[in-house]
Amino acid sequence: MFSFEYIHSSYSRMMEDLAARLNVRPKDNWLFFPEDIASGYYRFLQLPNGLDVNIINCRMNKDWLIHRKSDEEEYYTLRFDELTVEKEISIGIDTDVVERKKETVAVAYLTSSLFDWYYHGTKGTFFKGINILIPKEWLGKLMGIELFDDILPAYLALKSRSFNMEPLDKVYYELMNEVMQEDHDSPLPNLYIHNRVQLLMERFFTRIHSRVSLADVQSNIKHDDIYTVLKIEKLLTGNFSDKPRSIEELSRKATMSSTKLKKIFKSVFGLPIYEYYQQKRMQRAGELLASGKYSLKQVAEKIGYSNINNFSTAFKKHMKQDPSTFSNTG
Amino acid sequence: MIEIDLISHSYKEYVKNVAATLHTEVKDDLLVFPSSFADGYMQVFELPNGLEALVADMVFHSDALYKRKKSADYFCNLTFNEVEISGSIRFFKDGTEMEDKSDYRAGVALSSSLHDTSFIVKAETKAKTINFILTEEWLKSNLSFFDGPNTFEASTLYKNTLTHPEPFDAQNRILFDEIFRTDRNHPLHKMIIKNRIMFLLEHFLSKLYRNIRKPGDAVQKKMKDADLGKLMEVESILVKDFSQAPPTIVNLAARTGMSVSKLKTAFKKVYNTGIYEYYQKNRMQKARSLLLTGQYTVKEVGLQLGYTNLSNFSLAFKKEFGILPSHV
Repeated sequence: MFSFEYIHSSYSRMMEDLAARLNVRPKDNWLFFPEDIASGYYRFLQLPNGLDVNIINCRMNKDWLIHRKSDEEEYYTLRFDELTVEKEISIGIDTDVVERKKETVAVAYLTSSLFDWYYHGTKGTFFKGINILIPKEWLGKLMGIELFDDILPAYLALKSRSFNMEPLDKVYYELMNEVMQEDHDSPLPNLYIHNRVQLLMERFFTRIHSRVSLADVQSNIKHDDIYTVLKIEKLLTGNFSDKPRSIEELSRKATMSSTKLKKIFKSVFGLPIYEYYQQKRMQRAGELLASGKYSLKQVAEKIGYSNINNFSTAFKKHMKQDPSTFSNTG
Repeated sequence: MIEIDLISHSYKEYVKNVAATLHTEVKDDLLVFPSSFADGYMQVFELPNGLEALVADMVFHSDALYKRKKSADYFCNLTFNEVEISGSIRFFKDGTEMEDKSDYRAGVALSSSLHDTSFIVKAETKAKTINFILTEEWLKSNLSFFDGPNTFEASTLYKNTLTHPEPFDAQNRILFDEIFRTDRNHPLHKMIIKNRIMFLLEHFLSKLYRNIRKPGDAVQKKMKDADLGKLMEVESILVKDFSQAPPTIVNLAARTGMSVSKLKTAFKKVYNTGIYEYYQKNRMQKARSLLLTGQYTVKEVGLQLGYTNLSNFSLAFKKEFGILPSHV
């Protein structure tokens, strides 16, 4: 398996590391993979406004893992990825994992460096992607978006919902293809690529903005309240081994009435508080089982079940699978 | 008459200078004109790589003389204009005078710092303009075909002047209108405007490149000035309001004083497409850009563009872009 782990707030340094790792020499910021690992290239460029962009276009010739570890320094990665999966792939963001088999995953989304992120795929995957590294201050400074200070935390917290990943449509595809077209005769090689990358960004942020503000209008949630429920969510799902906190306690912490808390929680996370808690709890159980390090009994204890039968029933209800079979498939 | 010095190496300084001349102030690169001079504004946008663009939307209340001295440093000025002319515009290049008496201009002009330039605009003239300064350094690092000040001399596009611009094509028109229509309250409006400006620049430079490689006749050489002005006016009427049915060709011909067949032929010569095709293309582009904002449903967009029947709208859209509007 080929695996590459990194923490980077600069794609040019990341390219150096990758080149050293692969023992190849990049030329003009183009890196061609050795055939035993992948067929294709990885490319780095910097937009005139200072943003780092990388472009990958290859077929993986080995099983592979790319893993960005979480970092203290906060920045964002805007990803436009098209993964044509021959066998399977898992995409991990923080503690959430999405698995896909024999299909094309084509999505645009934003990740934060505060969370771990990885792609773990099998041999034969075609990987086309354009990624833009965006420092935290940049959004506000260069795009003049004060609003995003409020919207982004909410957006990032919603990572487990389909809300987060936007499917690539024809307009995105066209722009991506234009960026990847290697037309050496172009009279304006830089301008051509920069303009299209800018348009990809514009489109993505315009759409997030209109969706989030639509959601706001519909539910009349104030940004402060979104922040508050984000904190409550952390509190609620921070520890599963004890009894869950009561709604009364949570609403005291949030300094809101329990009715208001329940309502806002549901509109931000899409589920009532305890259903959400239970879903996260079972996902956590699934991860622990899949790690193969714990017995069923240990897992049940870790997430606060003293009775294994109760745990099995609950697990089955949420994950549509028996916990005992889960660890084997993981 | 108010006299304004066109400082061409920096629009930021230029705007400050104009503010001083008019005894007013610049705020966030935006100058709102005092009504003694004009209704409207001009604003500087900083673009990547040290480029600047100057955007203005104004109705003159006073006659104005704009002057620029030639300079030792080479740079180009690229101007996209849409002007409803009151009286005439008088234009001077190295002392030679030209007068434009047509009613309407919508087009692109490229000039360089190698000449003394000035022009006089009369009160009541309405103008929307987007201007760029392209320094020699920027041209060198971004245009693979740029090879010094003589590069553009070969192009017929370069011979266009403010009084004889290259008419807008559909692409110019769409971008140009989007820049002026962008909602200033949208948190991303600066980014949206800058991106349109950059695409306008890219589109022009690509055209210039093709033109240098394969020079054709400049459009305006084939046609009388007055007729060209009429055609530009027809073009602007066509794209003004899509919620109404477009005027008939007979009606347009009557306004321009041309015969129907002359109007059709002349329009095709300048815009490379038929009158209704041009209208429909712009209408669908408008639909696409409305849908891309994500703020409207397919039904709302259809209605805004004058479609009472949604399936007609969907079919027309699919014909233009190959996808249904609901998939944008």
